[in-house]
Amino acid sequence: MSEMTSYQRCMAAISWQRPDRVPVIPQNSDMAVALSGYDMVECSKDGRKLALAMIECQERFGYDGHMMGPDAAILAEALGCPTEYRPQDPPAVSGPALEKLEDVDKLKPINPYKDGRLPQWLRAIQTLVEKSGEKVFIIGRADQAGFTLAALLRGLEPFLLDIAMGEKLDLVHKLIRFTNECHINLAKAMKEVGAHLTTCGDAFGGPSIVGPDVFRDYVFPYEKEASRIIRKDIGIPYSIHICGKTDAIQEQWVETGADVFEVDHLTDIRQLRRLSLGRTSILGNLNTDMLAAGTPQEVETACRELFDVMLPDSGFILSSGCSMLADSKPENLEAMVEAARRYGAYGNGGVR
Amino acid sequence: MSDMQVIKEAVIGGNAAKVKENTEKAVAEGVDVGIILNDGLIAGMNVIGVRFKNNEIYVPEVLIAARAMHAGMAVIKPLIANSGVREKGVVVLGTVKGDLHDIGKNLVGMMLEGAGYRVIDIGVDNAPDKFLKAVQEHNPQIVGMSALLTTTMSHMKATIEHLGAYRDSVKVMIGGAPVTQKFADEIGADAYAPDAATAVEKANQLVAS
Ligand code: B12
Repeated sequence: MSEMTSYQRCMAAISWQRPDRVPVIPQNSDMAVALSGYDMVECSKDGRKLALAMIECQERFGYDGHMMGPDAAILAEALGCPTEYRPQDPPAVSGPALEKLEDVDKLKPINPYKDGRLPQWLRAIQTLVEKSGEKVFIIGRADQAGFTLAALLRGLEPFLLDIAMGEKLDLVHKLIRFTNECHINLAKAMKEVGAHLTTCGDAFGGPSIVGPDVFRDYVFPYEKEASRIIRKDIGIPYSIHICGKTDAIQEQWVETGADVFEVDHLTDIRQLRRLSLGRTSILGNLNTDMLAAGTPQEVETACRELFDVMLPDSGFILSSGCSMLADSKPENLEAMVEAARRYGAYGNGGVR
Repeated sequence: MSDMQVIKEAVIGGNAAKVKENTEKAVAEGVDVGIILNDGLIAGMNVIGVRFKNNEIYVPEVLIAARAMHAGMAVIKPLIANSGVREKGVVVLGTVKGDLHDIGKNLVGMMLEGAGYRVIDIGVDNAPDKFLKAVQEHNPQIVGMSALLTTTMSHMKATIEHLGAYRDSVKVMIGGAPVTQKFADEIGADAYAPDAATAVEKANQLVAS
């Protein structure tokens, strides 16, 4: 089979067609910024610079897609959370936006083209599309999903207590419904400016933090709703990232109908593969510690072990388990890309 | 069920009102404050710590139990001073510089409080000097440091060095997902714990040694 473009390869992977080889999309915007010589604050506030840093990095290493990053604060900030900027780290939420749960009524829906830094993220995607458009795959991150964004607005501990106490559950649901809509609005704008897939983080909704019962009642219904609207009504493939453990929720998680799950090394990847085969692709799940400080040989071995689990089926994109640390070793990223080229071929046997 | 058993179970179940009510009742009946603390409140938090460690419960269940424990503490606190019960020790606890993760650290703090320690939580993103200042101000037996990023772990070593002369009088305990016993040995920390329940055991050993 003749060589595909990166874009075709990624599309084939997420739609269970046969790619020529495993596509690679690292989650490395922190690293891209660090290598570019810009500082994190300027890239966070100027989408064009962020995109240029990402393009330079992609061209240097030759992987298949851009994964928008770097921060997980952009919607929360636009909705009123205090946010800290530091030269080397991505912006981070440093406090809640709501003093009490009742304040949910004061929240106003976001406008992605106007509010906070959201226009800069859209600008970053536009720049990526202009410069590497139909060749490289572009993943727009619609920031945090409903549950996690709600937790950021309310403060994680008060929010988990609200749920555990069970006294104002109508307000809890009202808040998550609201934040989920904000997330969906951002996903819609990302599609409008040309992203090929949109993703989100929902780390607070996974078993590193909450149990399967909380997932069932407060996370799953909203992820499922977002998935339905974003995939069917808005018309762009949808991915969900939960870092940390996921084993206890995987069976239900598959029912969200998402196109892709992004998981880290704490997930039992064999179990997830078995449960999601033919339905939801997997993007992941190399240990970020190893990518930061391990050796290229270790990276190659880990990639090959992953290929043993994933191939010969489609539905797989090789990636880090989570955001790669800014000072991860460049030779480890090279090893990852090289491993996919060398050992990730689908051959002519066809996909199962 | 004995009164202490009721308090313990109410802590485990996260029922703050019940803990408060039964603690007040026990105090009125003249039960020794030390018994209420050890056999009621601390005993409850111990169970929570073990269940969390074994993945039987998750963060919300720990938060609500800690809240219930605090409701009981509030009742007995004014009485502790005159009771002969001494706090087990003072712990200065914080996340290191450049690191904003605090969920695990907060749980460790709650468990230590639940075990009878006074915890001075200095929050996240603490440069070595902030730890030093807190040590100078609060004179703790233990400094607890948390790091969740491989890149910020190195600040633990810097902090230990920065404690300088105070290093003789305070023990250092460290933790967080990427931290290991081996790393703790390498940087000269006195203890490492992989989870909040073990952190309490280690703290007990440190103050006893
Ligand atoms: C929740 C989370 C976040 C939240 C944090 C919210 C908060 N208020 O804490 C948010 C979204 C803000 C976040 C941000 C980031 N995160 Co984060 N995050 C996580 C996640 C999913 C769970 C961590 C957690 O809370 N676990 C639950 C608690 C209960 O467990 P714990 O923290 O381990 O604590 C227990 C023990 O370790 C121990 N313990 C903890 N502290 C102490 C202290 C002492 C003294 C002792 C004795 C014991 C002890 O006891 C605790 C209770 O049993 C992990 C995933 C993972 N695999 O761990 C990633 C993870 C830690 N994050 C990671 C990364 C990369 C980041 C970011 C850089 C991403 C980015 N580009 O924005 C930023 C960094 C921000 C910063 N500068 O700190 C990576 C770190 C990789 C690495 N090798 O360093 C991880 C491992 C994800 C991954 N798989 O790659 N993150």
